Amino acid sequence: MPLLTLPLALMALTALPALAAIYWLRNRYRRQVVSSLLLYMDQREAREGGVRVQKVQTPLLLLIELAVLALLALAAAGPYLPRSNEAHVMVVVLDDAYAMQAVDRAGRSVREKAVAAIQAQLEGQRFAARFIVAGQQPQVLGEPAQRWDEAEQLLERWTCTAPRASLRSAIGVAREVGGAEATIVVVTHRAPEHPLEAESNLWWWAFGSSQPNVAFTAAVRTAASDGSDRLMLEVAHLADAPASTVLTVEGQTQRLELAAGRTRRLWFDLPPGTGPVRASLPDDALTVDNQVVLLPARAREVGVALQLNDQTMRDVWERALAASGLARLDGGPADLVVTDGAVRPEAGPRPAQWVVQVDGGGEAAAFTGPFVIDRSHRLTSGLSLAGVVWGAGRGVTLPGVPLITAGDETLMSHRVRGDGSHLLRMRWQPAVSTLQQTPAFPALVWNLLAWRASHLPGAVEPNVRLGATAEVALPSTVRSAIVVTPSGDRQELMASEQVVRWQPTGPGVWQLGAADQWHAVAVNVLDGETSDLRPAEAGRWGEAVGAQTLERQYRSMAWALLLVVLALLTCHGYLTWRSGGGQT
Amino acid sequence: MDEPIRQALQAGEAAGARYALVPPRQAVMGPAGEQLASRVGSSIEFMEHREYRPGDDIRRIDWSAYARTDRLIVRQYRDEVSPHVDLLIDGSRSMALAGSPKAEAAMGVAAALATASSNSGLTCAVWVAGVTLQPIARGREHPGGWPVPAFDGREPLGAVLAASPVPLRRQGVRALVSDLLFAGSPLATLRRLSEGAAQLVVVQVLAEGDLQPPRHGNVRLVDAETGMQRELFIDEPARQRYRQRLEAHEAEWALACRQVGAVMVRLVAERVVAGWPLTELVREQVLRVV
Repeated sequence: MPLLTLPLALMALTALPALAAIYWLRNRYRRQVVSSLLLYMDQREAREGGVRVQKVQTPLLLLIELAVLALLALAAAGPYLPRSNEAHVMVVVLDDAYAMQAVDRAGRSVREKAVAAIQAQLEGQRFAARFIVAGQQPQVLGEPAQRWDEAEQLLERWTCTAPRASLRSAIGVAREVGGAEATIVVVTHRAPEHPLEAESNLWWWAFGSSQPNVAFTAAVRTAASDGSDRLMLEVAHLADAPASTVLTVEGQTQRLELAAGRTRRLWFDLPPGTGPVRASLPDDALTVDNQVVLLPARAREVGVALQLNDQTMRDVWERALAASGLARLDGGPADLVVTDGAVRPEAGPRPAQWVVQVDGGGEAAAFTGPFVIDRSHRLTSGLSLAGVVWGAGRGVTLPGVPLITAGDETLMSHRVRGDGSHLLRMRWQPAVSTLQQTPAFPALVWNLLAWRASHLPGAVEPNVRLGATAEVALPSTVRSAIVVTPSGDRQELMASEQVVRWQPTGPGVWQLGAADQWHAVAVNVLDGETSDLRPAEAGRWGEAVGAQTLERQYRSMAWALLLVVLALLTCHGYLTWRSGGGQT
Repeated sequence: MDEPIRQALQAGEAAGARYALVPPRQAVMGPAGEQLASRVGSSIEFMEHREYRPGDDIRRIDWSAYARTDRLIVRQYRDEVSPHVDLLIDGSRSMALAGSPKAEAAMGVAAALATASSNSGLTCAVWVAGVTLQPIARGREHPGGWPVPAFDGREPLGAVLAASPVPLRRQGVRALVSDLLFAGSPLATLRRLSEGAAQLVVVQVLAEGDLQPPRHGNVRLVDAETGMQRELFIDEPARQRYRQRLEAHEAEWALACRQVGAVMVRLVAERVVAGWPLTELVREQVLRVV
C-alpha cells in the first residue's frame, strides 16, 4: 500500500484554487467601446504589448500549472511505494474475549467491524496473512491465507467467547510466527495500555465503543447436607450513571435499582429438588453476560468405613470425619476405608475403594520436625505442621511417594494401585502425638475427603465460570468420554486419573457421557472486567512507518513525480514561448 | 443625448457669433452678389493691369500707362459673387462615442462654423453623412434650431461619400467635421470632397479617449461603429504603439490635406465643450475675429 511520509505537505494543494482564481481574475476583461478598432488592428502580432489573449491556450497553461502544483505537493508529501512485489506478510492477533461481541448503537458488533477492517486491509494488495486467536492461550489458526476467501474461512473460527484475551503472549507468538519483517496487527476493543514502540511493526486496531453494561459477575448455587438449596447472584452495573433493570429468575421478575459502578448480590432459597435454574437480564450492548444457568449443587459425601482396631485412633478419626461435613459414616458402601490392619483387596460393585492405612506399630518416637511436605499434592493443601509432635514407630518404612517426611523418615506416602485406586500410608501413634490436637489433622482429613469426593463419578463442580476447567470424574473402569457442546457438537476426550478435564469454549450446559451415564456442567460468563465496556474505544495506533521500515520495505516515488513536473514545465515554457510569437 | 447636443448647438452658435469665416484664397464662386470675388469681373474695384489683347474692351485701356510705356495696357476689376459653405458632419456612430462629448463638440463646432459663415455673408448648407449623405432639416436656419442627427452610420465616411452623390456647390467652401477614424484612403476621400471646391476645411474632433489608449490590463475593445470586438492585453508597450499609430494616422490625413490644399484642424472634444475656444480655427485662418 502506498504511503505518504509527510501528508501535511498536501496542504499545498490549497494553492490550486488560488491559482485558478488568479487565472480567472487575470483573464477577466473589462469592456470598452472605442471609436474604431482601426488603430488596434495590426498585421503583425506584437510579442510585447497588445498581445491578443490566447483564450484557447489559457486553459491548457492553467491545467499544466495546476498539475505541476499538485505534483509538487504530492512529491513534497513523500510518496513511497512498497519495494518488492512479494506478498506483504501480516500476522493478525484476534482478541477472543467475549467483549468483542458487544454491539454499538448501529447494531454492529466489534467483531464485525474488525472483520470488515481486516478485509479492507487485505483486499487490494498481495499478502500472506496468519491469524492468531488470543484467548486465555494464543492459538494459531491454520496456514497462511493468501486470498480473502481463505482468510474468511479461517476467521469463522474466531468465536469471541473467551473470558480474557492474552494479547501480550499472542503478540509474542505472532513475532515468532511472522518473523522480523511481518506486520503484526492486533485487533481488539480497547486502546493499547502502553505506547507502542517505534519501528516495532506493530499496529493496534480497536473497534470498541464505550457503553454501559449490566452483567452477571457471580452466580453460585450451594447445597447443604440437610438438602437445602441456595442461590446467590451478583449483578454489576458497569456504567457511570444509575439505572434500573429487571431480573428474571425462572420466570419470576424483580426490578433492581442499580447505582453507578456498583454491584448487587441477591440470595434465593430454592425448594429441595429444584432442577436447573435460569436467570436473565434484559438485552443490552453485550448479551452473553445477561443470562446464567445453574445446575443443582452436588452433595459431595464420601462413604467412609473405619476399620481401626485402636480405639483411640478410631475416636480421633470419627471426630475429624464428623466435623468435616463430607463424610458418611452410616455403614453404607464405602468410598474410603481407613484401616490400621492389612489392606484388603478390592471387592464389590463399587469403584475401587481408596485406602488409608495407618501403621501404629514400632517403637514410639516423637518427630518434631523439620517436616518436609509435598505441597503439590491435594492432600497437603493448606497443611501446616508447625509445632506439631508427630508420634510414630521407629524403623517403619512406608512404600510409595513420600508426602510428609521428618528428616529421612517418611510419615505419609501415596501410591496409585493398579486398579486406579489410591493408597495412602501413614505412620502414626496418636498416644504420643499432638497432631490430632492441632488444626492440621482436621485439615488433613478434609483434604482427604474433598480429594476423594472429587473422584466420585460426576462433575466435580456442576457450575463453572467460562475460562475455568470443567472436570468430571469417571468410574475407574472408564478411560474416555464424549463431550457434547451446548450447540450439539461432539468430541471424545480421554480421562486422566479417572477425571476428564476440558476447557469449555462457550457458555451453556455441556454434557459428558461415559458408561451410559451423562453428567452436565453449566458454564456461565462471569467476568466483571471483561464485561466492563466503559474502557472500550475505537482507533488505530502504530501504523506510522519508521525510517528503518521505510528504507527496508518502500521506495520513494518523489523522483518520478519531479520528472513529470520537469516535463510539464518544459511543455509550459514551449507554449508560453510560442504564444509570444516565437521570439526570445 | 438630444438635450446636451441642443445645448451644444446653442453654445456653438453663441461662440461662432464672435467669428467670421475667412474667405479662401481661391475664387469662391456663386451667383452675383455682394462679395467681391477673386476673379475678374465687372465691379468697380480695380484688381490689376495686363497687356491688351484683341477683343478687350477699349474703354479699359489705361491711357496713362500707354503714355508712360508706349504699351497698350488694360485695367481689370474684381467680379461680384454670393459664396456658399457646405458643412459636412460625420454622422457615424463613433462621433457619438459613449462617455465622451464628441457629438456635442462636433455639432457645436458645426454650429460655430455655420454662424461664422453667416457673419461672412456666406450661405450655409449642412449635411450629415450617416447611413447616407443627407441634408440636415432646417439647416439653413440658425444652428440652435437644427435637429439632432442620429449618429447611426456604420460605414466609413469615404464609403458613404462614394455611395452617395455629393450635391455640393461648386466653388464653395466645404468644411468637414469628423474624427477621421475610419479605414480608407484619406486622399481619395479628400479629393472627392475638394473637387470643385474653393476651399476645404477638415476639422478633426477627437475625444480624450481617442487620444489616450486604454489603461493597463485585459480589455475587450468594441468598435462603436461595427460592433467588432477584440481582446487585448494592454501594457505600456501597447499604449506606446497606439500613440504611434494615432500619430501616423493623423500624419497621413495631414499629408492628404496638404496634397489637396485643405486646411486641417484638430480639436479635442472635452476642451471644446469646456469653453468653446476656437483658437485653433483662428490660428489656421479658418475663422477671424469680428
